[in-house]
Amino acid sequence: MSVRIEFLLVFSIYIAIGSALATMSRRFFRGDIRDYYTGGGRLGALLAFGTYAATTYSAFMMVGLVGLTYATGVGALGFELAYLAFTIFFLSTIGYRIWALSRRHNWISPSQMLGEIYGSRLLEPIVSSIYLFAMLPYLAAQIQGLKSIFTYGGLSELESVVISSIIVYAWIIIAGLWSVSITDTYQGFIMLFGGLAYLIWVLLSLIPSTGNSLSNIVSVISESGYLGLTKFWSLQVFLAYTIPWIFFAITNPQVVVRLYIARDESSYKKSITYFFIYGLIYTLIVVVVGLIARGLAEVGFIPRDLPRDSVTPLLLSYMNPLLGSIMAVSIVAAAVSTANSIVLAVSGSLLATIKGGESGELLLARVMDAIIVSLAAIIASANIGYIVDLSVLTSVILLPLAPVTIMGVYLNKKPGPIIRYSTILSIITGVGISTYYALVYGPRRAFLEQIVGLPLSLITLLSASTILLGGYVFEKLYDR
Amino acid sequence: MFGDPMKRLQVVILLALIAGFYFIPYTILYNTRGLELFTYWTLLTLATGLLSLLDLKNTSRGG
Repeated sequence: MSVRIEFLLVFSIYIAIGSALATMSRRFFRGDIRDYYTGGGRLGALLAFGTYAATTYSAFMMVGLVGLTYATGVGALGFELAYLAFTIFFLSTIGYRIWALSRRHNWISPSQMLGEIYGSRLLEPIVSSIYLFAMLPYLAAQIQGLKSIFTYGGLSELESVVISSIIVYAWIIIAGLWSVSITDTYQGFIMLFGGLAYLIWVLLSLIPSTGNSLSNIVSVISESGYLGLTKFWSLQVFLAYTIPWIFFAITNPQVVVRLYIARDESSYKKSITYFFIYGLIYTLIVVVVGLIARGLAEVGFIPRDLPRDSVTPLLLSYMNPLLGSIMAVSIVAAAVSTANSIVLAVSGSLLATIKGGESGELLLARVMDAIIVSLAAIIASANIGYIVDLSVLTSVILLPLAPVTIMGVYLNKKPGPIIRYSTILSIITGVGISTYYALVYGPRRAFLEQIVGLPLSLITLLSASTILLGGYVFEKLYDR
Repeated sequence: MFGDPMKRLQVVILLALIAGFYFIPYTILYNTRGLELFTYWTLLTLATGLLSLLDLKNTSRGG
C-alpha cells in the first residue's frame, strides 16, 4: 500500500505541534526527580485534567468500544459509564485523600505510597514488580494497536512500531511529567475533536449516503434488540467487564500517580469536574457511533459479523482521506498519551524502589524509560501474541491493589505486623489467582471464564479482600 | 485503626449503592426496545457524578 499523503501531512502537523509544546514545557521543569515524575505537585487544573483524561482514555475508546457496542449493543454503555461513575466517586473521596497525603509525603510512585503507609519494606518492591508485570503487556498492546492505524496511512508494521516508540519516548524525556502533561492535554483535545468529527460525519454524511435516516437507523437498532441487554451481556459478563474497570482509578499506577500532581485544592477539584464532563461526552459519542454502526450493519451497509477492532478502520475507509487522516491521528494521540504515562509511572515506581525516592538520578530515570519503551516495542513488533493478550487481564491482575489502597489511605497510624503481612499475602494471592487462570485458559478466555459461577475478577477481588480483612480482624484481636 | 470510621462506612455504603443501581437493568430494564436503558445509565451516571462532585466541593483537607 502506498503512503497516504493526507495522513503524512496531518501526522506531521500533530508531531510538530506536540514537540513544540513539549519543548516549551522545559521552562516549567526544575530538573529534579520529583518534578520529572509528578511535576513537583505544581500543575494547574487544566493540565491536571488534560493529562488524566488523555491517560485514562486510550485507543480502546475509538477502536475497541465502538466495536464492542457494534457487536453487543447498549450494554457496552453500562460498562463504560459504570467505570466513569466509580472513577468520579473514587476521585472525590479516596483520591482527594491521596492528593492531600501526597502533599506531606512527596511521593513519586503509588508503590512508594503503599510501602510508606503500611510501613513495609517488602511491599514496595512487590508492588513495583507487579506494575512491571501487568503494565508491560498493556504498553505493548498500545504500540501494537497503533499498527492498524499507521497501516491506514500506508506505513509498514516496522515503521509504525519505530515511529510510535520514538514519539512516546521523546515526549517523556524532554521534561518528564511536564512534557507528558502538556502533550497529553493537547492530545486530549485532539481525541475529543476527533470523536465529535466522527459522530458528525456519521450523522450528516454516512447515514444519508446509505439512503437511510437517523430515525430509520434507530428503529432498526431497536427492532434488532441492541438497545436492550443482548445475550452477550449476561450478569456474569457484565460483572467480568465492570469489576476491573470500576477500580481502575485506584489500581493503575499511571492514573494513581496523577493524584499527586495538582498544585492546590482548587486545581484538584476543578480537574475532577472537567474530567467528568469530558468523560461523559466522550463516552456518549463513542457509544452512539458504535450503535449507529450496528444499525448500518442491520440495514446491510456494512457486514454484520465484523471483528470488533475492524469496525472503526472500516468506517475510516469510507471517509474523505483528509477527515480519515484526522481521525486516525486522533487515535494515535489516544494511544501515545496513554503509553507515555504508563512508561513514566512504571519507571517512577522502579526508580523509587531502587533508589529510595527523591535521591534518584534523572539520567537513570531516562535510561529506565528507554528500556521500558524498547521492551514494549520488541514485544509488539515480534508479535508475541500471548504477552499482548495478557493486556486484557492488566486491570484484573492489579485488582488486589484496590482493597489495599482503600484500607491504606484511611489508616491513621502505622499498622502492626499482622496487617503488613496480610497485605502482602492478599496481593500475592490475588495476582497469583489471575496469573494462574491466565496460564491455564489463556488471558482472553480467563477474562470471561466462570470459576464456581463467578468471573475471575470477582474471585480475585474477593480473595484479596478476605485475606486483608482477616489480617485486620486478627490484628485487632491481638491488640486486645 | 482507621482515620475516620464514619467516612469509611460512608464510602463502603455508597460504593454498594452505586454498584446496585448499575445492575437494576438486569431486573426491570433488560428487555427494552427504546432508549430507556441508554437514558437510564446516562442519567444515573450524571446523578452519581454530580453528587460525588458536590461531596468533593464540601470536603476540605483532613475530611
